[in-house]
Amino acid sequence: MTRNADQWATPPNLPPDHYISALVYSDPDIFREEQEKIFKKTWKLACHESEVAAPGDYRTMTFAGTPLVVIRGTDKKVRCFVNACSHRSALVARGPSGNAKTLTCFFHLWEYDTKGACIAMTRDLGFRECGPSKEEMGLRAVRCETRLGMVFINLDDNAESLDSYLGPSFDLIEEVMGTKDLEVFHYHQVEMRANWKQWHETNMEDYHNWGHVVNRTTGMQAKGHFERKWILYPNGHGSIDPMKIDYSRYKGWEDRQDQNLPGLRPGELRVVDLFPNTTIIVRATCIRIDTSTPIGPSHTLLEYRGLGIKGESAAERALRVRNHNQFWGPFGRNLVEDVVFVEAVEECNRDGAAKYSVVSRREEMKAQDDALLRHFHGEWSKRMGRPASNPVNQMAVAAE
Amino acid sequence: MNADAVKDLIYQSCLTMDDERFDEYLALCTDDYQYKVTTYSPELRKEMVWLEQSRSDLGAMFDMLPEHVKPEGQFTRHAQVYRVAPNGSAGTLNVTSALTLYFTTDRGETRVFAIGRYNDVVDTTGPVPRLKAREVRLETRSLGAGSQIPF
Repeated sequence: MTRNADQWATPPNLPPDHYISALVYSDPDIFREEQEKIFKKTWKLACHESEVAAPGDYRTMTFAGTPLVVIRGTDKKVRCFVNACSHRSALVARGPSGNAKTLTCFFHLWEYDTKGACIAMTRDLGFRECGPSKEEMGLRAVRCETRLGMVFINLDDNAESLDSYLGPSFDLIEEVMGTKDLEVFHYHQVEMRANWKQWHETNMEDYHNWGHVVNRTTGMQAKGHFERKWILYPNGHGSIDPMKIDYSRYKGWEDRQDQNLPGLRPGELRVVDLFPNTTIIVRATCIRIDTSTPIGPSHTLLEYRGLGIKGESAAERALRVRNHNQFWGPFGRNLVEDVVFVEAVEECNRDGAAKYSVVSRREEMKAQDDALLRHFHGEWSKRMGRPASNPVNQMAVAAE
Repeated sequence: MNADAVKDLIYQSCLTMDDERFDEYLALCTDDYQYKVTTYSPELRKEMVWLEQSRSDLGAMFDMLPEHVKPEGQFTRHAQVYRVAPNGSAGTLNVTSALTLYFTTDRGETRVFAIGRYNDVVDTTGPVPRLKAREVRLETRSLGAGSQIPF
């Protein structure tokens, strides 16, 4: 039976945490509030430590509107600073990466060491009368901690520690990512016309695998696929029981018997989703990490990394890259589909055609239960101080 | 080998792929054809391989394309052969072509999707030249949703 406009706009007859208002994906005020209450408060994956392997190596990025530079110091410690000169606010590190013994602002040539201290002010005699002194003009340090090779940053000086924030979320990937040194062999970005949450929801929703022919023919055919259970961690994180996949079920692909990463059975899949916007997927031989930078309500920058074992042979690396590229990367069978899915959802959310998104599946916490989606939006609602099902008190507005 | 025949091979490879006549594209290739897409990452300061396929890999990939969800539209390849040169081994030539790839949506909007080069190795031992290897060297790294169809 079809529904008229009023019926269409009426909240589903479900518990409030089992549906989501489309406004959380499209409202500009909610988006701005997310920047303050979520992205400036939570730990964000900045890069992998292999991207800043040597002293002086740096990576730049912009997150929550803040240009940042992650740099490995001469003391080998990885730090993060706001990428802005203390003098007139020009970038102190330009380009996506580089190596520098000191960070020198290209505007007036002020110089900072890799610990963020200002060590030179050009023609400093001009500052002697009124100041400031070098000692007062260090870079703005940003919280920066590393776990399993992943470098996380937090714009909130008072945030809880990364270990506390993650809790046991990395238990399933501790051996996989913590036994051997890893390095990033793949990096690419996607500018997506969709809300950041739509992307991460897709990562957390096993039910969407019905849309992927690869998953229909491989993972969903595997023994125990539907019986796996979600594991929910504090702070909105989650993972799911591992499973073994026969990748040769997809035409032209081989099984993943060899070169499995530490602690994995051949073909094993492991997934960890971190609130708010990072997912780590291990598919036997290779790892994908994706993270997003929200730019606008309907505009998201996705970053993808593929990882292998540092120092492995060219042949070993080639197999890992091949396996990675089968699923992921710009020519991967699944990644293209995921972007097409979420952009199609955004088209309906953008101007209010869609009103609600349903996350009511219950299967005793098994794979196609929407438990992790509800867990994620529970955390979102807690941090935003409003339910995702009714973020602007829609029912009251409708009644008026 | 007549240079025009080599150029015609490159252009035929574009036309067959544009029209998604994949069997005809593969017929332009040797049995040991190797295809790859590469680019350089300034973020990692490393070379990257984004796709590497044998002829049989490509065949399987093409067979599965109808099963996949794809962006709605079609690619148009514009290649210009810049250089045809011996590569030092008998019976093969190196062919360098500029490549511009356009994407036209089903609504009729066209945009530049990617630019780069074809770095091809052409086998000239037979009656007609055939593609022995192709490296699609991309300058463009931001490809939107990406593509399940090789360039």
